[in-house]
Amino acid sequence: MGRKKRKNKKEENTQPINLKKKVTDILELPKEVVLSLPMISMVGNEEMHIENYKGILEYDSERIKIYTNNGVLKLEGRGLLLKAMTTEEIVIKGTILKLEFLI
Amino acid sequence: MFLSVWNYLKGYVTIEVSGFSVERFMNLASHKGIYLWDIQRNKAKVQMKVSIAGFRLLKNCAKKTKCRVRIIEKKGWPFIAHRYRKRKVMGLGFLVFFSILYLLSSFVWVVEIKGNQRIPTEELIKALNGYGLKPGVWKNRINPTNIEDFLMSDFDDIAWTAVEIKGTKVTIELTETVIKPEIIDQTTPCDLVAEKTGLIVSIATRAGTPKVKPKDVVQKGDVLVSGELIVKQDEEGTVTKYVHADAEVKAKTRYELTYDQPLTYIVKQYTGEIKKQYSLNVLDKKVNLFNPRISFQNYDKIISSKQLSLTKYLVLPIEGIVYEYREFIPVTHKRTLEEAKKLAEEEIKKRLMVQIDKESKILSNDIQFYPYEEFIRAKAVAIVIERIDKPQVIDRRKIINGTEGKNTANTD
Repeated sequence: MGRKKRKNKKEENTQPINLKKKVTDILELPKEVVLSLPMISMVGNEEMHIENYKGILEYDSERIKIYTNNGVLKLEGRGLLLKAMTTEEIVIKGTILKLEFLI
Repeated sequence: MFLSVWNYLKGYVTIEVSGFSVERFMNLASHKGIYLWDIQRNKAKVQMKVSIAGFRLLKNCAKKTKCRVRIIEKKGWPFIAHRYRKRKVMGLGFLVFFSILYLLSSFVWVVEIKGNQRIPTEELIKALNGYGLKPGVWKNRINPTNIEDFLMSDFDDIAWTAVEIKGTKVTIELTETVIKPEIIDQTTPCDLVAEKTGLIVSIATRAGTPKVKPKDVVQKGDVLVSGELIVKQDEEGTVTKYVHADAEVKAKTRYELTYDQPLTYIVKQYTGEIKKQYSLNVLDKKVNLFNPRISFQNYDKIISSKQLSLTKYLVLPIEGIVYEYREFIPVTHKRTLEEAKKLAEEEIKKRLMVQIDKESKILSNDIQFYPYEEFIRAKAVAIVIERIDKPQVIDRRKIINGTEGKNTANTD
């Protein structure tokens, strides 16, 4: 119910994005490039690379919130450390226990 | 790994940021393209590393986000260079050091010869000196290909050689030609003669006419088996054929050995007094560093030297030498007669084994002892059964005379 409501509200704005999505689906284009969705790769639960992020909302050794085009990505773990941070990519090290998208 | 080396060379600072929203500060910095790494939260403060160039841009971000930035640590080559920028003599020293290193490493300091077994090393060294290759020669003067050619043409025994310059070391590897064993052609007519004087024990002839039989006594040089073969003998004359005589002739031979075993021997009893002398060998010139007075009457001199080298191939012309003098007192011990006899017997057995073949059998070995004041004399008579046949080519003229008019000889 609520989901539908939000969809209706944003219908005009999301029209071009939906079209773009359809085109990329049909042509099988890489989504992270065309739609600038975050590309997340993990090495076990120790290392995590996030490309195409937008910014950090919260940073702590136990919790990190990262803003992306898919919404907020919430990470929970122990001894989290930002190994590197550039314009395109963010590298997180530590023990990652939980990964959640807050849409 | 590579990144950390690069960062070190470029220089970086560890900063501590504190303020209301450090996350905003970080976002702003990364948006500007400033690379931040090793970000670590420490309660309200955040520690991070940033390059020197990035740090200059960060000031603006800090002002915008109202964060305070404090430098904790400066690391990297630019900071070290900055600290030593006024010490010109040190820089000069570095320059001199490296230029001396370069200069020294452009000479040959060690020549190594590998692979020679029959050719004496001294001869090779002499020849190499003649070509202009010796320690202390400028490396550019040497042409390895030329030296290879010279070696190949001057030594017939060298089948293959490779001259390699590695660092300050020249390695010459060579392979000698294989010696052709002296084979008497199976088709060449020959006799078998006695190599030693002895009593024939057995004779097994495969080719030729046996001239001796068991229990005969033969002298050295006597013909045992003749290569002359009489094929036919009747009124018309004799037909002879010359063959390569082949037989296994075993004989009893006698060996006489004497050996003097001294009854006393000296044992070195070290007193524990050690004196050391150090010296440096620079470019074949010895420099004594510390010269103690050696007052020992009897001493062992132990020389240990170590060539200074940077790597395996970069050998420097400096050699450190340690002379160690160890004092001892010679103590004379006396052997009992029994011990001396035992030692003499062992020695005689050893000497006998050197003289005879492996396949030979020792029948008896009688040792008589004659004690003297200082030593004991052992006289041994050994009877050995061994092969005594030795091929000897038949004189060619004799063959031609013998086969005159007849074509029965298989001369080659």
